[in-house]
Amino acid sequence: MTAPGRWVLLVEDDADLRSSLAELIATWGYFVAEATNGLEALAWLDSHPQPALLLVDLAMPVLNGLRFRERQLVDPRIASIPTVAMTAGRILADQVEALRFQGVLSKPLDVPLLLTTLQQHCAPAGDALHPGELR
Amino acid sequence: MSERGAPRFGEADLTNCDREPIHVPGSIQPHGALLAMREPELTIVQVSENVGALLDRGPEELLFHTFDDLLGRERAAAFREKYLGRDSFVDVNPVAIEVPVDGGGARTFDGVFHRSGGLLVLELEPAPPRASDYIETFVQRVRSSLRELERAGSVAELLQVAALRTRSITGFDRVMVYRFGRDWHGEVIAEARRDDLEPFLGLHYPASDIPRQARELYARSWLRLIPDVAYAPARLVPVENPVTGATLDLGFSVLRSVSPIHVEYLRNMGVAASMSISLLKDGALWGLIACHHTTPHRLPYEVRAVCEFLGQVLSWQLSTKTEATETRRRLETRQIQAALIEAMSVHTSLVEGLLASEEAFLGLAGATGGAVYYDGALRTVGSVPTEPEILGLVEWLSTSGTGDVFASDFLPGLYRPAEAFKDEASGLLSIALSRQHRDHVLWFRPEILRTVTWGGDPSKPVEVEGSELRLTPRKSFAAWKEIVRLHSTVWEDAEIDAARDLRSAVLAVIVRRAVELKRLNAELKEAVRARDDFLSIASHELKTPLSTLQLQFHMLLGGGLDVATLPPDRLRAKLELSERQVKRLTELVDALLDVTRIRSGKLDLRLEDAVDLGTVVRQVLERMRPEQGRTGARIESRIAEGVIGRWDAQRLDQVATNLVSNAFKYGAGKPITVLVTSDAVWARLVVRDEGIGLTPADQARIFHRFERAVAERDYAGLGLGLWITRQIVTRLGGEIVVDSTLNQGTAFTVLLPLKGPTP
Repeated sequence: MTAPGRWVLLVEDDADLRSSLAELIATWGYFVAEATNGLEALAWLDSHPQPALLLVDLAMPVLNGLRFRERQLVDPRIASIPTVAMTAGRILADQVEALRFQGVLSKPLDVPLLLTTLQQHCAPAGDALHPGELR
Repeated sequence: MSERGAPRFGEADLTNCDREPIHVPGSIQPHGALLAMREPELTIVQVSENVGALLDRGPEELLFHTFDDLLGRERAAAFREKYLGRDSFVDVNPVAIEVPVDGGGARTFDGVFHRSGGLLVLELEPAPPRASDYIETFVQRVRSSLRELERAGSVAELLQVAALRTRSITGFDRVMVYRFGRDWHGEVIAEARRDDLEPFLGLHYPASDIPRQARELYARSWLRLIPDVAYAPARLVPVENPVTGATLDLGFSVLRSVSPIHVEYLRNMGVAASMSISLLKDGALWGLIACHHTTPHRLPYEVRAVCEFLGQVLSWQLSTKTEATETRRRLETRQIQAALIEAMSVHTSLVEGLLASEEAFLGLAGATGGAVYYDGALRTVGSVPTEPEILGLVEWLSTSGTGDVFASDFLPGLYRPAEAFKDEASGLLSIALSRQHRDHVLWFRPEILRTVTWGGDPSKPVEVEGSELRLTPRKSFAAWKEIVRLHSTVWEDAEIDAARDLRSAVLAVIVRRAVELKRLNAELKEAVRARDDFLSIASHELKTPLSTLQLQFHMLLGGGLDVATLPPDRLRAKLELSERQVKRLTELVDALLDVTRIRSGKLDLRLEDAVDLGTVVRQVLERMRPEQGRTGARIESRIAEGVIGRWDAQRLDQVATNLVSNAFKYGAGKPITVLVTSDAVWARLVVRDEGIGLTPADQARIFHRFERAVAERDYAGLGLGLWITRQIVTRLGGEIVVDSTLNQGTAFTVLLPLKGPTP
């Protein structure tokens, strides 16, 4: 298993956006796992080593980003994983505060900011493997 | 409530005169004699000191004797039987009484009975010689007088007839109808006179000319007569009523001696004989018929009775005629009011409604200008003071405790600044709508320079002699003209009442409006919220495909990928993905444009004669295969051939696309059924999923704009699909229904007429 420090779990319901984002992040040398909603993300976390970062869309069916974060925070096994929210809408400062997100990225995404965020929380992957092979 | 200015004259008023007890003067006029008797034995206990002159018996010969002693036993017995022992003498007065005199024979008197202070009072006046047909003649005159009074059309005409008739019946030189003003000053409003006398018509007299207790007496008895103002009063002997120990109340006496001040007043006017008949309206003293004669003038009792009767008829006529006029006026007012209220409810702005018809608004109060100050804004019509002046006036009205309805025909007298705008508003009628907000409706009347012609200088009704204020009635009755400044015409009761009624109506409209406004406000808030939601959803929805596009472009433009070395299938996949985002964006923008078109009624249909619904639906399913692939839902379609109608193919495509994509979105990956069938008239499209379903409440909501049954924005989409779908179906003349069970699935059925929408 690859070192957890290189893993990013991407939680996004829009298939096209999710695959595009995963592809870009992979080109930067990170390993990307994908989930389509909060419930899937919890399931993934339950059965995998901790990733270095969670990138979570806020508006998703089944279990949205805010509810996901609430459940994450009360689960000591995963509560400390750095989590950055992605949103196309506005997110209120006190919401970010309450849910202790490490950052918020607005859509359309600011690519340099995304890269900085990743570098801040994850050690870059060494020899790049195609993320597709890791999933 | 309302203040009424009146022409003011000097402060000095005959307050001494007001205190003088004129109805118990203890004396009578000497043209008749008075006997007061104790019933039932009719012992004479009080007499007027002049009895000797008329009855040939002095007081000492009468007092403590009986009536029988005076008349003789025989006459007295007949008299008792016929007249006495009754409660009222109205029906028998005057009674012919023959009193035996010295030297035989008898003298005939007109006797008038009444009771006062527990005594039976008999007043005797020598009976004038009467022609044998005098009763018939009299009845004729009374009848024709009544007929004339009946025929009179207006109050003015009525009073003129009364003056003429009273003069012809009584023979007085001058007969005037004198009307009391609100301040009890009087005005001559009708007159009949000897041609050589100067007219008094139009003259005003100060209130002090007829003081308060005189007016009270006038309201009690109908008629007073002074045949000769130069008389020497005959005192009663003894002065006190022996039964009560008090002065005999002569309030109902026909011979009562009048106040010396009044006598002097008449003398100063050059009057030698006078009579006055009370005119009452609704039980209150309204005016007088005042009769003057330049020489002493006697009137037999029956003539006085007729005058009294005329006074009563006239009083009754006055009430009914005034009432009729007021009723007519009130009816007109109501009509104006109704029109105003109607206008207020039709117009969006209450003020606009109120002022919609300048004529109606001003007509209501008979004003020349008007203003409405409402909600901090001032609107005016007609001739009005300047805006700062009106605002100042409103401020004053709001703070000076003038009440809900205020009327003054002398505004500058109460509110000094009004002198500056006397030409527009010497008179003010106003209603308060709300005091905190200073809301008022105002009506204005200009200054009327009124000339009041006084009978003498009204500012000098008294003279001071020595240290005491000595009552000396005016000596000069030469006409004295006073110009009344800063006054408008008087606001009539009907006008004030109309304003008051309008106030109630306006307040009712305001209350109704407040409720309505609250509702509109809530609706507006809801609309704003919906619009904000919509913009927020729209921007959210646009940003997702934009994000994807942006990321793809970033990679293609050197952000980590080398396009030159990229395998062609990966490049192709990326471009296809990008194209899909563009398509999604296009669809979103189309939907937004549709909303705009539908809302502005510009959703155009391109109707074609042979559109095949089956073909349209098959194309939609084909196009959505990728989406189907992603959700993994199986599609079962049963599409009948030849379901052909007059439709707009593109709009049908939109309807089918919306329904099928909804089924994918909420169908939970379970099988989806699509049916197309038809009968002779209708085509039917059914799209059914087995997904999350809808509650009954949600089923009712989903066709509305921005409504999504699923909470929050966790499901992508504008929430416009079903609304647009229903709009299109409706435009095509069809309908859409939903049938759903929570957690079991949803079926949408679209019914479309084959012949298309009815034009």
